[in-house]
Amino acid sequence: MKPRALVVFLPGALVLGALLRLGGPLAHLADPLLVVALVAALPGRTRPALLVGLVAGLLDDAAFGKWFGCHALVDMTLAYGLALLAGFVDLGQALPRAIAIFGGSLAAWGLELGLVALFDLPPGPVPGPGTWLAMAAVNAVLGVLLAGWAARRGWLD
Amino acid sequence: MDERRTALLYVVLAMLLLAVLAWQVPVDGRGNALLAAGRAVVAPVVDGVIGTVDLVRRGWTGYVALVGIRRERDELRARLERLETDVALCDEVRRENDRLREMLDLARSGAFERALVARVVADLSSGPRNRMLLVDRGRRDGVTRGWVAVHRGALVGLVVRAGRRSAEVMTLEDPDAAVAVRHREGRYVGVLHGGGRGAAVVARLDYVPRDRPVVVGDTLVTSGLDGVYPPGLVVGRVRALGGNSPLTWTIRVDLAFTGSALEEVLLVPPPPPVERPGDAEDGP
Repeated sequence: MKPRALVVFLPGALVLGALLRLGGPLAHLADPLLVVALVAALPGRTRPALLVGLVAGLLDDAAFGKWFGCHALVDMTLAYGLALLAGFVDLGQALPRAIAIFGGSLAAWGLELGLVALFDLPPGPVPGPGTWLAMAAVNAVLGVLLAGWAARRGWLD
Repeated sequence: MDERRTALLYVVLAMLLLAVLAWQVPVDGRGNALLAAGRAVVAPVVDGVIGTVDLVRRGWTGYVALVGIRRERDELRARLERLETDVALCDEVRRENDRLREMLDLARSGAFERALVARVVADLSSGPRNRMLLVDRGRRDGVTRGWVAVHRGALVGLVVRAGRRSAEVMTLEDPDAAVAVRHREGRYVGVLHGGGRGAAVVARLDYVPRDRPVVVGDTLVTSGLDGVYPPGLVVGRVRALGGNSPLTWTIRVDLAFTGSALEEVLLVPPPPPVERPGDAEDGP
């Protein structure tokens, strides 16, 4: 993903996340910063994906997180893993992209719960599996739309 | 080679982040300074978003409230108009009630035991020489020609024609009207003739000797000497003195009632005929 895309996507995702949290029940409708990190990993380049995931996660932690570094570690890990996966699987079509982002979103939930358990951190407002599934689906739709739009503008290469 | 470096970088960063997380595990109430520092970096953006949304929300809420207030104002304005109309109607009813009570008190005073309250339903005047009112009482109510119309103690006129359900009253403004009057304190008497000359309806009192102490503003009442009107009804006030005769005054009189403003009148039966000497001598 090109730097100019990140200049647009990361602040935009931050603003969208803030707007969702203002909506009360809509707070867990989507995780825009995770979507940006996963979309950045779709071309399959691991280092940019890792760095974008790190930055997106740090922004998420700083703005909305309870434990600094938690989202950074999760987003970075997922972006890096998805970039590695993209080296073996063709993620150029909408359906594979949607499945990858959906799976990544579910994995993010598992990783967060794992980190909380690992460090015996006081649990924050962790949504239930139903909410997380819905969020993963919305993330998948958002990710496919964002990736398609970025690809048309040549920002995804 | 590049992938290995990236993997190494991932491992280093992951270890670093894990250390950061481990450092944040709360021990004895220690604060999370790292999170606070991170918050400080992105706070302007988040605060800006929250502030903007809050501003829009408050603006929208204010707009909705304003629309509600505007609707409420319109409803209150309509309600106020209805209430003002009701108040005007109540005022009119109250005034009518006062007038009727006054007439009823007069009727109960014993002076006019058979008096009836009649509503003025039409003004039949057809110019200054014909001043008539139509009232809603007639022969069915016992009203006949010769009944007297009174309003608030002031003489209005005389019933000159009685139908079944209505009657025509010739008012004192009619030029053909005439009534025997006297000064309230009895200083002089005379016959007052109705108005009708010209635009100004002013009655006149003729043939009052100039040696009588007539003063502008004197109140004139019916004397009863004509046998038509009951005595003591207010007729009007002296407006001006005049006349060409060196012996008598011609007095202009402002009548006590104004025909156009009447809504009800009290109809009073005529005084009983005076028995003249000789009328009762029907025996030997």
